[in-house]
Parts: sequence; structure tokens; C-alpha cells
Amino acid sequence: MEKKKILEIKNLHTYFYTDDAVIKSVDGVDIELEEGSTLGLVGESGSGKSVTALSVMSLLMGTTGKVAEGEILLNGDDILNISEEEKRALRGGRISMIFQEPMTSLNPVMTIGDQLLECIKQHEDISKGEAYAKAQKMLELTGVPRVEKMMKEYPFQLSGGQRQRVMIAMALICEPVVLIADEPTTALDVTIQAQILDLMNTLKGKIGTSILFITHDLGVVAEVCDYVAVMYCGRIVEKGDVYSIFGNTSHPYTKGLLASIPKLGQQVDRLTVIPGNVPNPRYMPEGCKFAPRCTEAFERCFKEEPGFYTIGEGHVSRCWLHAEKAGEV
Amino acid sequence: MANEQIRTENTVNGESAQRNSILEVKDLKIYYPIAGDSFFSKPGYVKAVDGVTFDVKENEVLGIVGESGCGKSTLGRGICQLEKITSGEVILNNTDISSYSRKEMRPIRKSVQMIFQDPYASLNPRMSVFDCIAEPIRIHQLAQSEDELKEKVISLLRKVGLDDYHANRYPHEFSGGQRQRIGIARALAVEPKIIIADEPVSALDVSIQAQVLNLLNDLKEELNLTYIFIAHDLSVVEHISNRIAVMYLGNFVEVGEKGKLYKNPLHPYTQALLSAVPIPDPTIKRERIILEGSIPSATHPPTGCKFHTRCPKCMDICNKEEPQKYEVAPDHYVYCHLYR
Repeated sequence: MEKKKILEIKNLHTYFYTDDAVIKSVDGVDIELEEGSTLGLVGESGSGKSVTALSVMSLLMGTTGKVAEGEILLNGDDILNISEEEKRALRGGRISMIFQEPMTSLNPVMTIGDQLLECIKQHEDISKGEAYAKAQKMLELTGVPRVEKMMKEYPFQLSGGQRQRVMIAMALICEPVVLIADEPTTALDVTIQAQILDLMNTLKGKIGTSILFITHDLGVVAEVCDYVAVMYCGRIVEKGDVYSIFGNTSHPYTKGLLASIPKLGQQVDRLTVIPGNVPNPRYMPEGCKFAPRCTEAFERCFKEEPGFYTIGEGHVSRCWLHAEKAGEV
Repeated sequence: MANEQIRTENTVNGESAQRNSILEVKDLKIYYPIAGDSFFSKPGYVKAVDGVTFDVKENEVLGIVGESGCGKSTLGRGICQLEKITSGEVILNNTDISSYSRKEMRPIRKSVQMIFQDPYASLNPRMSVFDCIAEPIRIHQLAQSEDELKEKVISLLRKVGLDDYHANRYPHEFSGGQRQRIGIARALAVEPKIIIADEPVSALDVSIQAQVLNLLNDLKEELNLTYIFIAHDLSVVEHISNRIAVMYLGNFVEVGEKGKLYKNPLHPYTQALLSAVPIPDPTIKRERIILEGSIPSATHPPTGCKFHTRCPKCMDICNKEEPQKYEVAPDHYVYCHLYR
């Protein structure tokens, strides 16, 4: 049975307009998030994964960035071309976000309790007492110690892991249908990362939120995601379910990424590397954007950009290598 | 554990000294004084490194892993006297350098160099790449003429995989990976014996991280270098190191040859740490040991074994007595009461 698609991003183009150039940070991204699932959006820095998230959240104001083309649907409703007021009601309500740096994304001069209450006040019409109780209950769910005291404390009094738990409490307090987690564990130590991933999984089940999980860590993806989309230079290059992506890796970039991480307990003398660097977004190469770094590139790759080819059920890859074997989507 | 297997620390150190240790650290302590809570209370100390003993052999890579705040960076900086040592010995080539003055340290710095974590912050933005790399050569007067200096800088650039024309550029023109290469070239400029690399790849993307790790490996073989490789990423440390030390709150908890340590982790902290590393393979499902809470403050570290507050296998003795170093297998040591 086809599952319900809770979040659909269709042909998204987000551009940044500078004085002398247009930077195409996101250049044609299609992703669907199924209800109750976790989708991992993977890529290196500068691949456009965070900009995709900010576009969904309409958090590009104050920058030169704009969604130039495309559609974003939440539960089938357009959330791109709605009024600013409606967007505000949406953010933190039906759709919310956890940021990478728990240090910088909490307000340093507000107590934890007040920050949680602010969020409830914005979205729900309940009394202050009820709101306070709700905030406390949510904080308890995230497993922080001495909740009552913490409600009156400031962010600097908490450790990194505790701050990230507060961020999670804040994001989930209005029971959003979609949670966007942008590198939520990158700034944390491995043992704390394990705690937070565990917590997110538990709460996902309890609240029934679907998660768009942005990360560069393929290990984390393998642990928590149901589906994976790999981004490079503002495009999705490969997507599919997690078993298919890791078991039948098809795009040379995804293969390169997987090969370049040292794996615990598997000793190799040399790591396989992807040669070169991510291209400067001002001077994007013609054809396939990965071709200059690709070891399997041939003539066509430098001239034409490939479309998606089907690899398996729900698994597509954007590479000319598949042209002969698979049918174009 | 049988008593015969446990040797005293002295014999262990004596033995390893024979296998030509290039660097020995004995009971190193680095404390930072801090003011007390009120005017009348006694001043306290942050015990960043609290009695660490180890040695490094020539052309070996010793990896030091631990979470943030465990003191691994302070330890690295302490070895080359970038932090003031409270007590203990640092023995480099059979000479104790722990009480050397800044002036006395200067010739020593030629043999011990550091590579830093943040490639953006560790290069002077106003110096061209040429000057960055030439500075240590000039300070230590390793080039007789300008021509020789130029030659040396260019050959260093090539060695780390950069091009000649990069010499005239400035750090902001480079990507993170390239900057880290410049940092490596600068460290190599004085032809050191030992390089202390403090999280050299943690700010880099995975594909670039692999390039830099391979470079470090090649240079080690080519120039017969010895590394102390400090990192929080266990897979990276496993890849590059021969021996690994796991650090928690200012102390080593387990030291061992990497194959032994990763296959058979003995300390409950090492076990938890290893089980927490995400494996990039969705078909592997492991039993994760999730530790409660976070690392305690180094101002008031727990009594006895410092890990006992979070340890899933805590016993009565653990909060009373600090565990000794036990040799469980050859070249595999653990500081835990479970192995008494």
C-alpha cells in the first residue's frame, strides 16, 4: 500500500542573488517524506542541504536567498505561496526544526522555561498554568535531570547534550507533523550523540512525527533513517531506501563517500579518496556536476547533465553510467 | 586476573625504554587554578590532565581518543610546553624537558611540532603561504640563503600536494583541506621527529578527510615521523594509529595496541564509546551501551575511579579507590577494578 506523503518538495530551486552573480545553492531538488518515516539528506558542506531545509521553513528572509522555482507541499497543501502570518503559524506548529548548534540557537538571556512557553503561546490557546505544565512534561520526556530547576535556568548553565535536549523539547512541544533536524548531533560527543539519536527515535514513535534528517555522517544515516537522499552541488544524485542505498550503492559520488570513511574494525592501508574539491558555485562545470572528480566519467558526462535512472524499487541515481542498463525515469 | 600477569609500572616503563622510546611522559599533571565560589573559599583547580604516563616509540602513531573536556588537547599542548606543566616529566630523547624555560624550549621545538584542529584559525590571514611556511625555517636558521629558503618552501608545498604557484596566495583563497595541507607543510618545515596532531581532520568533509589522512600516512613513512594523533572520532583514530589510549576526565582508562583494544575493549568506558560509534551499514544492528548523563566537571571530579558515576558495572570499591594500571595482555593495559 502506498504510504501517505507528508512533505513533498518538487523541483525546488533556491538562488542567492549577489551583486555580480546568482548562486544556485539548490538547483532542482525533489524529495518526498513519507508519513512516520525518517529521510536522511546527506551531503558535504556546500551541497545545499541546509538551504533546502531553510527553504521549507521559509527562513531565508534576511538573506539574499529566494526560492526561484518549485513547490513545497505539506500534507498536500502549498506552504510556499502563503502569507507571512500563515507561515509563522506553521513554523514551530505543524513543522519545526532543530539546529546544529545548541549553543547558539537558544536565547542566552531567557530561561529555558520561558523559551518553551513562548513557543506554546504562539501556537496554542491555553492558560499559562496549563502551558507551564505542558512545557515541564515535554522536558521530562527528553530525559533531562531536575526538570523543575532547569525550567528556571539559562542555557549557559546546561551542557551541550542538555541544550540539544531542550532544543528537541522546544521543537516537539506543539507536536509537529514534520521535524527537520539539521545536523542535530554533529556538535556532540559520540556517547551523547547515541543518547540523542535514541531519544529522537523514541519521541518520533510517541508523537508520530516524520523526520527530515540532515547530516553529513553516513554512519548516523544508517542507524536512524528509512530513506536516504544524497545531495551534491544543489542536486539530488541518488535516493532510495536505506538498505538499497547502502547495499546497492550506484552513483559514483555516493560510492566515493562511503569508501572514504574509515570503518571501525576494517583495517585498510590507504583510504579511497574522491580527488579534488567541491566546485565553486560561481563556476559550476558543464554537464554532470560531479564529472570533474569522478573516476568513471566519460565524454558525455562533461557535456550533458544526466537525469534519474531507476536502479531498483524506489531507488534512483543520476548518472550516465546507468543509461544502458536501466530505463530513464 | 592472576597476579603474575600484573606487573608494576616500573618494569613496564623500563622495558619499553629499551625499545627506543622517542618520548616518555611520566605522571604528567596540568592543573588550572580557578577562583573559589566566594571570597573566603579556597581556590580550586581544574584538573585537566591528572597523572598521565605513557611512552611513544619511534615511527609509531599513538592515538589519543576521548570526548570533549577529557583533557586530550591539554595533554598534547602540555607535551610541547604550550601549557604550563604542574608536575611530572616529559622526557624527549632521554632528556627531561618539563622544566625548560621558553628559551631552552626553542631548539626543542625543532623536533616537536603541532598541527592544529581549525585550519581557518591557525594560519595568519595576513601572511602569504610562502611566509607562513618560511617563518619557522627563518627562526631556526635552517636555510643559508634566500634561494635555499625558496627551494625548501617549494619542495614542502609539493610534498603536501600543493602547487608552486600557491606560495604567493593567502590563506583565505584556500579550502579547508588545502589549508590543513599548508598547516602540515609548516609543521614539516623544521624537519621534526614528532608531530602532535590535535584533531587535524575533524573540521573537514569526509572526502577531504580521507585525502589528508592518506597524506599524513605517506609523510610518516617517507620522513620516518612519529605522531601523537589526538581525535574524538574512533574510526579515524583506528585507521591511523598503531596504539591507542582512551582518555576520560584527565586520566587514561585503557591503552593498547589497536587491534586488541578494538576487538576486545576491556574498560566499560571504552566499551560504551565503541558501541556508540554509528556504523555505515544499516544491516548491522548492535546492542548499544547508552551511558547516563555527561562527563562530570573537572573541578570536582568524582572520588575513586572517575568513571564510576556513569559506569554500568560500578562496584563498591569504585568510588573509594582509584584503580591501578593492570596489564591484561601484552601491550594492553586497563585502569579498572574489574581486572584486579
